[in-house]
Amino acid sequence: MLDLLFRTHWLPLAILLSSLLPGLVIFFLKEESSRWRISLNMLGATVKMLLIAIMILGLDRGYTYRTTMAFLPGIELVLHADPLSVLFAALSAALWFWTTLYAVGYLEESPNRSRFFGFFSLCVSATAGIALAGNLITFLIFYELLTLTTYPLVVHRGTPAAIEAGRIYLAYTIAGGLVLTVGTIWLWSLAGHLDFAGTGRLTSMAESDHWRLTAIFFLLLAGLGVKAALVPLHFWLPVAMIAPAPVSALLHAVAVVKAGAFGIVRVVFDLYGLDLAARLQLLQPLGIIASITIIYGSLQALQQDDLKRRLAYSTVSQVSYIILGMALGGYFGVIGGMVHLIHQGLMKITLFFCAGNLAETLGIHRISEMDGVGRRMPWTMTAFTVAALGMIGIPPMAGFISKWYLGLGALEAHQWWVILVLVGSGLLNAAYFLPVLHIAWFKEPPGRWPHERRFGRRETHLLLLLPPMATALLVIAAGLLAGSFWSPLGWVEFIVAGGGVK
Amino acid sequence: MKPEILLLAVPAAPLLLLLAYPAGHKGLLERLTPLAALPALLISLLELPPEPTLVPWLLLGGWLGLDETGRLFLFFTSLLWLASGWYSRGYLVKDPLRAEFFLFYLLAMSGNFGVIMARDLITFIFFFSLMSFAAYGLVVHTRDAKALYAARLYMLLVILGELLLFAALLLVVTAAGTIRLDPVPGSIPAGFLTMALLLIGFGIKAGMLPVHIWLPLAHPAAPVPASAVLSGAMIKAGLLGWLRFLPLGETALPGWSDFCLLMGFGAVFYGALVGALQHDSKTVLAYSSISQMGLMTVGIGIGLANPEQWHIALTAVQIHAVHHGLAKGALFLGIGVASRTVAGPGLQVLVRIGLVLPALILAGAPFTSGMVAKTGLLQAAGHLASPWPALAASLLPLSSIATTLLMARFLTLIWSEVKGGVALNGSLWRPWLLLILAALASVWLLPAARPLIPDVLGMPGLTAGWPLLIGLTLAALVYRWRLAWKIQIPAGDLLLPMAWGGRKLRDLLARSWALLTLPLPVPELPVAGARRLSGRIEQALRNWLVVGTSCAAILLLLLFFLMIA
Repeated sequence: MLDLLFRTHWLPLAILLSSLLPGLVIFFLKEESSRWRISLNMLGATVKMLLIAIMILGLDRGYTYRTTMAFLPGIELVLHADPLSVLFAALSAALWFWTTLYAVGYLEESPNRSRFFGFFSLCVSATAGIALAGNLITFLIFYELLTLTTYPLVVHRGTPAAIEAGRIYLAYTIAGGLVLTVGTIWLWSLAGHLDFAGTGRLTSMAESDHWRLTAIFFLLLAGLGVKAALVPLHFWLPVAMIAPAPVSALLHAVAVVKAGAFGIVRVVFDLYGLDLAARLQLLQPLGIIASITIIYGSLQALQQDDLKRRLAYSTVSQVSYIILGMALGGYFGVIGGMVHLIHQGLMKITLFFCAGNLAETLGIHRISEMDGVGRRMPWTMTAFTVAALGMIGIPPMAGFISKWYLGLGALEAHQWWVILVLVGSGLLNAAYFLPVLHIAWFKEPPGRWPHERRFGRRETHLLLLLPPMATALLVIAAGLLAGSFWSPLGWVEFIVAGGGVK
Repeated sequence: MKPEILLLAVPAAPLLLLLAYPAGHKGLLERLTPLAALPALLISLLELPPEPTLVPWLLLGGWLGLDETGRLFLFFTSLLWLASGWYSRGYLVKDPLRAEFFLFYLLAMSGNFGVIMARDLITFIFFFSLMSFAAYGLVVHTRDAKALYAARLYMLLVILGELLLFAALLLVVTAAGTIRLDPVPGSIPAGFLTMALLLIGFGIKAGMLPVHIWLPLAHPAAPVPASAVLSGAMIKAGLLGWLRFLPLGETALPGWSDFCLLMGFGAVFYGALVGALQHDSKTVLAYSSISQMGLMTVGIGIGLANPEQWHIALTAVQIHAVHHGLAKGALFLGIGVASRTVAGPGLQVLVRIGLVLPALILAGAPFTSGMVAKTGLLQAAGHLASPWPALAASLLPLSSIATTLLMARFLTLIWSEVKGGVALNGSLWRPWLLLILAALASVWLLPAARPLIPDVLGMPGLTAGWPLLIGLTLAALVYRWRLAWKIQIPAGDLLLPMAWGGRKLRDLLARSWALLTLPLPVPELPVAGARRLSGRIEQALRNWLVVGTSCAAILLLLLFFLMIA
């Protein structure tokens, strides 16, 4: 019976549909029928998690999942599930679940909720598609769909500032998408295949097409780097944080920024393969770009007083850890990079949830308004503290595990300077997170908050409180229990071992 | 019971008690805090197998265990946390932020116990960080300007230490090929970088020169019971780090040995001299800690020179750690007792005796643990290359003079504070008495110290006592000539020039940074066509229903084809 469940080849499709169908129905729901909307959303999120759980169990037992269709002559659309896609899909499903709960609480009584939740579901479907894409063409299609489905979320509030932010967002992402498309087509015309599976098929061309492969790599990198917010393509990200908190949370933790980073991981790890990338000497420049982004993002974060802007620049910095790990190229480096895909998502979503709570409950948007807020909202700030300490890389939080493996990877690859980058980034992270914690916990609260809403005995709406606490717990668990197989680290080690990296 | 459950219970007990805080049982939290140290104390008295136990789910596979060093450290550390926790209940009775204090107290306690029990370096650094970060809450507790400044400085050095240790541990693990601690001393690369990172990284916690600057500010800033654990127990985590990571007893590193000996003796006398000129009794004690940790650094230096003689030096360092921990704890708690309690002249005399006793122990008076510890160091130093044996033979007695000077300064400052008229509080003097008794007795009970005891007992009282007399004379001179008023060195000593240099550096950076961060406008796409295009796309997209359904339709179409394919 169980076997039958694992053997179902339509599982990737079902995972896509589990968020797509609810999204479609929600579009046509009336604004008032919030009960239907919530039930549909939560049903979809739960089903998606269950399906992915089945898939993980199946993959662990050695089953494979692959669905293909002809798209253009010689090009197929492929959905397939390998351990790496499941890693990303599981992250997106789990965070979708918590973000939806959060959004229900956050948008209570606000207009246009059907539109919001509809696009929210579509956005998650696109992310799932990115995770399950089996070749670059499929990836590209879902990648572009993601751009289109997130735009309405960014401009959701409809204010002139939001529209302007949306315009910048579109300009950047569509330009990036174009570059990515050019790179994809060129690679296809050169190699005739774009499959993520079967690493090493490009290797035979390493000598003859050395420069072309290099040029294509950088085209792909530029296209993906826009979403991954690599410096200097990151300008849109701090602007886009005008979006409502659940959108920012999803954007920074799993959807847009992560899609870019995941794409780079795919290109380096699966499309080119680490060996070829090292032979073409692509890893060193990649590492340098990532390092610059890491330091630059942190330096910018240091100067922001607006909490969400500080978090946004922190994302710029932290997402590049993933790329740095891939650039190191060895066993430990790749593990550090991939596991940060999950860890950064958990930590950053917690931080954005908390920032949203402060804004919704007390009207606090700036760090200078956060005096003593820990006493008014202890649970929110506890979650914030856990995530912020994780960002700095303090054990036992998840961030420490990422940094530890990145550091080991740096030594393994004999790239000493990377240790300096990690240490410097840790210092900067401490410099922009610890003062926030001090202000929130150890300063006297002001007489009144900028714009306070009361929620009875609770510090805020229950639906706003549960998600950050749940994700903060995950941040601790991912680090404290890193040694177990079902931790993100355990799964990533499984992926990397399967990829034959030594 | 499985050994790992027993071992895990030690750091877990304080953490579990924390659950009482959100549950609203703050009174329970207070009452049970001293008891949270009880599992640790009990386990340190048990004969457990010294082999570490694997806890596979913890971090990257955690190893816990208690070897001989660990047992000794856990013994005095848990006793100190227990007594100070008990004491806190009386000391903070009117403090509105009492509950927060106990919160951080328990967190730091768990970290301190865990560091001692950790047998792999990930677990080690986890508990080390837990302790360091939680202690911030203790340092900042009073929230006055001094505490805020001290806490900031403390956090700065904690972060610095964390990052140095992060780099150091990476190097160690890469060389050792395992995260377990046992093979580390035998396999660490003796290269400059690793050694420097380890010595400074742990040296920050241990108050080594010149990274001690935070200590004379932070230790006194905390409430008295927190000062006691900071100066008695947590400071030893730095020492423990050295014991666990340095190639002691494995590789001879003469250069680093000289460095440690110099820094150690330097701290002994520097700490004593600067401390003797302080005006606050707690600051004097903090400097005394720097001075005493200097002696332990000397022990490390001896071990780095001479692997074969390491076991002698190790014993001396262990005795030192135990006796300094307990005596320093008793001294700190004495400050609170002196200023808060006592009715009637009879009790006043008792309190004064209680203040003098641990001071005498620390100064190495005849027949005290201080004497035993110094005798041990002297014996171990005898095997060093010249000129160190001769130097040590003269410097170690001199160090007793220095300590006596400091203790005398402390007693003159506290003497006048012993007050009458306030009700005697049981939860203040009982834990204090416990620590005094423990400090008096413990070293005589330590098995490792037994071989040294005949030497100490055999010493004629007068020869063993002369440093004490000279120290007292010096202290009288300092008092008489009002030297502490003539030469004013603010707490933190080297901090002042360092802070000045730091400000200059910051200004310089700020200026160059301003050039780098000239406000950049968000770049526009240069092509007009692209702008129009994005404008048109935007127009279309604003009609969300169109976009939403068309997106969904595309997706559905794709999926449909996928299904039939």
